[in-house]
Amino acid sequence: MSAKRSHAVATKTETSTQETDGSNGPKTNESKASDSLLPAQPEPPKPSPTFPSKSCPWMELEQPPVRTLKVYALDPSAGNYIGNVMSIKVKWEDDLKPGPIGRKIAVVDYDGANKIYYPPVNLNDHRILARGGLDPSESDPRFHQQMVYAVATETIERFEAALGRKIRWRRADRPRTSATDGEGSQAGTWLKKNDIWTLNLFPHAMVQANAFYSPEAKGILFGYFTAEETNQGQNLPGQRVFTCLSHDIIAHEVTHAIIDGIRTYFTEPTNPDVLAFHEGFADLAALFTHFSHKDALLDTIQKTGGRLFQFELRPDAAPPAAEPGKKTAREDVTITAQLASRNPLIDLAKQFGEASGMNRGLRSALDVKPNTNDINTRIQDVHFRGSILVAAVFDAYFSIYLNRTADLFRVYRAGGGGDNQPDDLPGPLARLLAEQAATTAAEFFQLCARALDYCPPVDITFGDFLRALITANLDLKDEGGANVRDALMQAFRVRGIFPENAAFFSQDSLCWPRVPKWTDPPAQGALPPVEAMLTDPQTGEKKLTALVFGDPNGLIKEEGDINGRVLRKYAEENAALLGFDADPSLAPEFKPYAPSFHPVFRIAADGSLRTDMVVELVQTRRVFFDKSMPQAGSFPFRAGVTLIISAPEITVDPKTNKRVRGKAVVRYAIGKPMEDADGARQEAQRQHNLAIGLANGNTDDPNHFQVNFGLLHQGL
Amino acid sequence: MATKKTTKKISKKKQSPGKAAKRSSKKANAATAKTKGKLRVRMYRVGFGDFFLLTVPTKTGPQHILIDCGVHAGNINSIDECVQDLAKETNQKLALVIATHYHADHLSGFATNFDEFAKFEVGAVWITNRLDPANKKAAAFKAQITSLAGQLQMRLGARDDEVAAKINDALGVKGNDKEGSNDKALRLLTSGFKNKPPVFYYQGGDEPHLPDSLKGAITAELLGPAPIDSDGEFTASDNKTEQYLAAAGEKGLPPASMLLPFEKEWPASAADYHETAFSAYGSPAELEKILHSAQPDVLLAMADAIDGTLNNQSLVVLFTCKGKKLLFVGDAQWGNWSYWLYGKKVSGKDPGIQQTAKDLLGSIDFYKVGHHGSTNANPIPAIAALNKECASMCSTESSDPDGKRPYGKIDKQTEVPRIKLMEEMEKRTGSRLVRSDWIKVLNVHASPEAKSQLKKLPANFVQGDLYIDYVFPA
Repeated sequence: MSAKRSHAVATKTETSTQETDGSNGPKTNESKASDSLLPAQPEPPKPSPTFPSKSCPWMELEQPPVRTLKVYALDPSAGNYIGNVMSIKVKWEDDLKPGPIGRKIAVVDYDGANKIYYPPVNLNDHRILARGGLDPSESDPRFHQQMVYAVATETIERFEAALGRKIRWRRADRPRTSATDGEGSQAGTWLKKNDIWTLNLFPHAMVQANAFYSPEAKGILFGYFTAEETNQGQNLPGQRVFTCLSHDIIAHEVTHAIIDGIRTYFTEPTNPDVLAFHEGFADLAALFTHFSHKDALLDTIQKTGGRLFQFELRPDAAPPAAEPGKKTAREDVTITAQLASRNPLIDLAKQFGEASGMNRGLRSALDVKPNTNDINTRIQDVHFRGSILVAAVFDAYFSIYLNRTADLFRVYRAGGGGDNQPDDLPGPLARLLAEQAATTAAEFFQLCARALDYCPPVDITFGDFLRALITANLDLKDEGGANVRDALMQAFRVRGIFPENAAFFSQDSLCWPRVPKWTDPPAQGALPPVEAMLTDPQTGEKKLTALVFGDPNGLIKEEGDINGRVLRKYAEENAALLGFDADPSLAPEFKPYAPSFHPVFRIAADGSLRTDMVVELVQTRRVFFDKSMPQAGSFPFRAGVTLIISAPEITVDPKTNKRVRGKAVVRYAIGKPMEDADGARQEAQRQHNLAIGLANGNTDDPNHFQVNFGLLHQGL
Repeated sequence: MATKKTTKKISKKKQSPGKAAKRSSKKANAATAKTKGKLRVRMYRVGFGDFFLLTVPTKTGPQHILIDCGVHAGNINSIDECVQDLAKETNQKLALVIATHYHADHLSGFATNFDEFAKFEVGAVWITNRLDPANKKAAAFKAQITSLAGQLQMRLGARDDEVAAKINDALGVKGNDKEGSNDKALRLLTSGFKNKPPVFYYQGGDEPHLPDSLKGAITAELLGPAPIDSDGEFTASDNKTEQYLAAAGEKGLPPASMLLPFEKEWPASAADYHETAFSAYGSPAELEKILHSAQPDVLLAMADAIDGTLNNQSLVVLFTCKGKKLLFVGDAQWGNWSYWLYGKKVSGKDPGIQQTAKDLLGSIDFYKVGHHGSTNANPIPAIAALNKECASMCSTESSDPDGKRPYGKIDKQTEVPRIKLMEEMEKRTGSRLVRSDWIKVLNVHASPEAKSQLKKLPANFVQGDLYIDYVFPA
């Protein structure tokens, strides 16, 4: 303690006004030179020498639980629209360095187009702390850094809360090889160069109307560009537009990175739904965030008379009356307050859309009457297809919101209020509606996030996602969820999204089947408890080893290693039961392996704590595009199964009358087997790969079959 | 300067028209005698471009169909001589001229030899309907593409690479006139021939009009391009580039000047960041390198998009003559192929190639390899369905006079012609695929790459001074 203090004093005398670095150790002369160009940022005042004292530990102040930071609720184009400048609270990171550079994310502001760095913001500066974060400003890169950090952290925290575990970023593919395979090896857990441990955010990476997640760059690249000279919406012609200042864009891109960390193979376009799912889901995550913006929500509810799904908000002043049967034209309006504005809650990345001339979001999705035809058109248009998924989920959301608020409206009408009332809804009613809208949105977001764990590890389709939603809802004992499930089923059905293998379009049939209990002889589809005979590295003895579930703080490396080995062995011993190719002569890289396993700790709808493990098991096979033409290249065809494994229960052994730990049993096995009827899945993937041109180029390159989000997004 | 030179060259040639003709006449006469009354495809070696002459025996003697006449990259400067040969061979009479699409490597000869072609009598002209000035949609789209290409050309400045090549291909290199050479070629095709023949603009599925001289001797079926009202469903050269074109918009090109995000200066350096910021990359330099490489080459992407879009407009023609089927696919890329391979837009679970396309490909006797042998224009399912007895010709160039490959790079597997594809097709068709750069023309040597793929000319292929003939066995 005393050493630290003396250092603080030393720095104070040395560079009394220039210290910007919160880290220990004096800075080199070189960095000081560049620092001197910066505006002065004095060190926070140091505590008095008597504080805290070892003899009086109660004097030590606790770390604050959260850090308050200001951000745009939407983007700068929304100006001072109610609630557009909002404060969000993110978890306090004690060791946050200028950047901000934290444990899970790091903001590095390098401009690749102009080849310069921008100075990093030090969020621990007392002037920033005292303000609750820098005030929004388009012209200060340090606010940009703060906003990217804040929104990314907020998004991560929302996912972690929903998933019941810490999220992690993409781990490089770890196929088994003969070198790493074998008893006692650490296969699956050794470090890889391409692993992402900290996600880097580059707020001004390039001059381009684009922002994208790039596993190669280990981060997210945000572009900036100039608005179009014509048709630039609310932007000035030629104005700078920063994608890193759009709440939606940040949330969308971070969601991509999160999904990629959860499901390694969702970046392989094995069918038209895979990439569309990535896009649609990222949009969903961004849109549901809107409903947590209390002020904007309240205002929208008042201006839409509670009908949140309307595209336009009633103008502040009544527009001049139009001729009967005609809508008021824009030209008839005399002041801007008479213009109806777009509903910000269902608009996605509005400024970006206006500035780049491309509009996306729910508007285009909800504008279309639900039909079963769209899903079969523009198959290769990832964003169009993704918007169908977004529309389906939001259709269900709005249905539930209306259903839950129906009584409020009844009361309101009984009291003399009505649909044609030109005035705003009464404040208390609007507040009740906003509360319900926010709660329902949070519930839907949680369900969508949790459903990720109930998706197969490879080759996902929209139908699979619907089944995952239904299963996740049922599995977590949501008694009141029948309405939600019903609304989801209807919304997907009217858009032509049907699961492939479900016998009926009913809840029971759509829910993934439970794995039956392991009996002797085993029932159809049953799986043995998850454990394996492993050699103890210390004693060299073989012993039956169980999975380590750990606690919500995560696993240590040794525990992870045990799980990796148990699961690998389990997958190999039960390959046939799990839908894999059980041929023992397969080369190690073609045997099933476990790309991921996550212990999860979730609060079920009934309030109980549930401990499970979500495991991905995957097997890869190389398939030629044309058997008679091996030179034409091959593609990786993967089988996979997601296991939801219940933590062992404690039971009483009837013989000894002692309490013993039971075995970890598989509750769900959600998979795509290697062999299906007529090899239909393989054929479909072959055709899809051909159709999108994946047969061209070097098919031996592992990256060849990975999506390039940079190209996919081109204009988000 | 350059124009003057060209004129000089042409005029020089005009002084001794017999010379070239004499040179080619020795072997050619023998060949002509052998091929009399037989169906024949002649592929001229011009460099990277297409120049095909189909000769059809009819009751009134041989009639000639010219399919494209152009060269672009890898120009070996033989096209003028080739046009001379064409004039002599056909006596300046062509029953039919087909221009598959708006790319210099299929049109430039019509522009550079405008005056020579103006002496030709032509029975009919077929052009892809994307160039139909009467079709508003087509005209608007063409104007948009041309303007985009024009903007790109301006911005590319002195860039001498693939991007520039693609754009020049789309516009045609500008000559003396204000119009690009592609437009000049189009002017010849639509109004420049001696007898002002009728011009037809077609798309896949149209019933083409055959001139009287060909009726009864040959039939033609049009397989592509996809109908113009299919709203971009079949425009994919592949998925990615489509979106670049959309992003380009009307004025979507990024400004030429460097765009600085902030008005004020915010000086800083890597040293302002804690070292952990770079630990995942090794060093700041590594991180910077990654971001530099992520900078979009927007120009390349747009050039690609334009290139693919124009290729997909290719008129795809299937001729049938005396039971022999000949397929000329122009430069059609995936979008165009998928239209007629699958018949309908591919939806849901892919149906695989439709039976009619399978039957068709399985029964053709001659295949003009698409897009000078690039993979994007010869889809694997189509090549796999190809008749094993089929003869193929591929007009291409693996090295330009400087010994440089005009298109693509082998290490990136983008080389054109694609070596794997060529070898595969040799295998598939029992070494009956012949490349134009297999022969020596004028003082340009045969390509060693072509020679290594095919040791000697297969049966029924005949070598001339400027071309290779394929004479169909009776």
